[in-house]
Amino acid sequence: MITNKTILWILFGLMVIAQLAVLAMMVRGQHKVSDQGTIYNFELQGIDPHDPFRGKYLILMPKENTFKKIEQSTATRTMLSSSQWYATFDTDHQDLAKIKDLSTTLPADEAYLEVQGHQSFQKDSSFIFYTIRYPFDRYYMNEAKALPAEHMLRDVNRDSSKIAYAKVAIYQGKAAVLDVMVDGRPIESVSESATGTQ
Amino acid sequence: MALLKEEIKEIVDKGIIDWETGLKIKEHFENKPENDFNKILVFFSILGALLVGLGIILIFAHNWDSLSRTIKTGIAFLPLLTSQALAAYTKLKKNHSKSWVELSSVLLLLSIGAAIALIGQIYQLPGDTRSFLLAWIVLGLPIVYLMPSSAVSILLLLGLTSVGGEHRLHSAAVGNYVSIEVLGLYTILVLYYLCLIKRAPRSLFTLWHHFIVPIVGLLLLLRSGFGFQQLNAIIYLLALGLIFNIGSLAFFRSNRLRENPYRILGTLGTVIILFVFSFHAIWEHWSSRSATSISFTNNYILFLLLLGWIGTLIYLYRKRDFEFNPIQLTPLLFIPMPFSGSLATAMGMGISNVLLIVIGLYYFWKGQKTGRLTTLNFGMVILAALIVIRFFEMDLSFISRGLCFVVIGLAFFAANYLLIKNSKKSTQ
Repeated sequence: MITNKTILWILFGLMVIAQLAVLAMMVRGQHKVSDQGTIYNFELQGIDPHDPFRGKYLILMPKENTFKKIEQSTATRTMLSSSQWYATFDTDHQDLAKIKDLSTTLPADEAYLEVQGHQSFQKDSSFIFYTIRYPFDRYYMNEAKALPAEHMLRDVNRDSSKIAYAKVAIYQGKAAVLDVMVDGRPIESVSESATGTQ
Repeated sequence: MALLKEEIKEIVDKGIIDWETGLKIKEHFENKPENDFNKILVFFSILGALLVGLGIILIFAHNWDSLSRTIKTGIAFLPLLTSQALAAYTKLKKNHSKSWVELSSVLLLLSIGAAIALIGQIYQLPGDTRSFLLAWIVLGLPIVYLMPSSAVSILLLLGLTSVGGEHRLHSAAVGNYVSIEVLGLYTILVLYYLCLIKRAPRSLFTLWHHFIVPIVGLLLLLRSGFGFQQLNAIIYLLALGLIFNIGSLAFFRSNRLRENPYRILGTLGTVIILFVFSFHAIWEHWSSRSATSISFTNNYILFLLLLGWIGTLIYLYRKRDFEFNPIQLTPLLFIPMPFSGSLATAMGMGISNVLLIVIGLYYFWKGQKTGRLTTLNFGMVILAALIVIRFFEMDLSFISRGLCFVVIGLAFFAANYLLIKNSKKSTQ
């Protein structure tokens, strides 16, 4: 074991700093994304499991997770073999995010998100069908509100007049989930009133 | 201890004993093994710290969403800062108290986990449980060496098994048995274990490590993703063979059997695996990929184990510590497996059955020679189990099965009776 006292204290100090720094970096990185990112709304489905350390959460499953791309000869082949893609987004008339493009090269002057290539297969050789996995898949919630929230999301999905979406900030490939909204209201307040009336 | 120092100084000053004797007495008391009261104190300190730390994590997991983000972030750092301060205080003032060292270390480890969890929850950070645990283990690793804390070492080893386990769900790749980061972390913890053996070979923590280090190693192998399955036979058997060889080293051989987990694990593990491999059904679903796909990059674990196994065998042989045991032969016989193509099933089953007979007979013979009932019965249990299993596989009448059981039972009686009789005769 290390016996030199000075070195031991220096190392101990470094350990303390590293532990704090990693956490601070996590906070700072996420702040940067939410402060400077472009905000998109992803329409959702969700279910409610729990994590042994971080509590209950909703699994976020954005409905907009497939993209049809016209084949462009050789470029396509590199996309098929790469699992790291960059996605850019548009918004539709309901202000929901729609995938604008998927590419393996960094998009210039545009908010983009790093996504995981889940599946991709070719249909009748004129276009390719992609399924992507988003880097954000969890929304941690208060343990009393998570289950009602799941039920609410399920009901909203059956009711075509209502929409549920995740408000997500996107900045330089990274994402920060800001809120989950049901009918324009944060899901926490909606599920709270739902449990209150029961 | 400070009181003792003063007393010794006083006696030396009075000239009752000389300075050198005083120093020797002081060293004797400093190196005296911990008494039972201290052990209990250390145990309950660790238990207390574990409960408090886990309690904090659970309270955080409730998700206090009525508090603002800033306040919650502040609260997340609070336990971490407190336990860092406690650890610093321990290093400064309570460096010689084992219970203080272990208590503050365990608290620090758990508050790191609590802080990462809460930050992840507040900021909706992406990431599954595996990446969370990995970050936690990496940040907690320095505690093991710097405090130094054996309790944290044990907790991290146990934590690694769950990281290795989750890996299986995500990786379907051929080879790549244990991810390189898990292997690296395991190695760093094993290095601490080696230091611990050197520093305190007889302490309770060292004994605990003797058990946990090889078991965690085996679990990491068992629970990681496998692709090329005929290699599994070799990988498991090599790992168990290596563990057995370590248990045969002079350091462990001088211990009693129950203080030699390597020997127990190596023997029992090999026998269990051989029993599993002696069934036909096990081989049916195994892929028969050709051996050409074995390369160092995707099967480095295999090569490392092979190196370790051969290395320990040569070492034992050169130290004249070599006592032949069929367990040591086992991995060697399975090495041609991946190259045998369609013969693999027949070969695997054949070798397993024959080896079990050899091992059973060997322990029977050894037990008789040394007069040890446990060894003798271990050999007989292997043989009896093998016969029983094979008899159930075959389509035999109840009468012949029944007769077989009676014969095995009588053999047990006879062997034990004769051995006890012989040993009584020799003592008279």
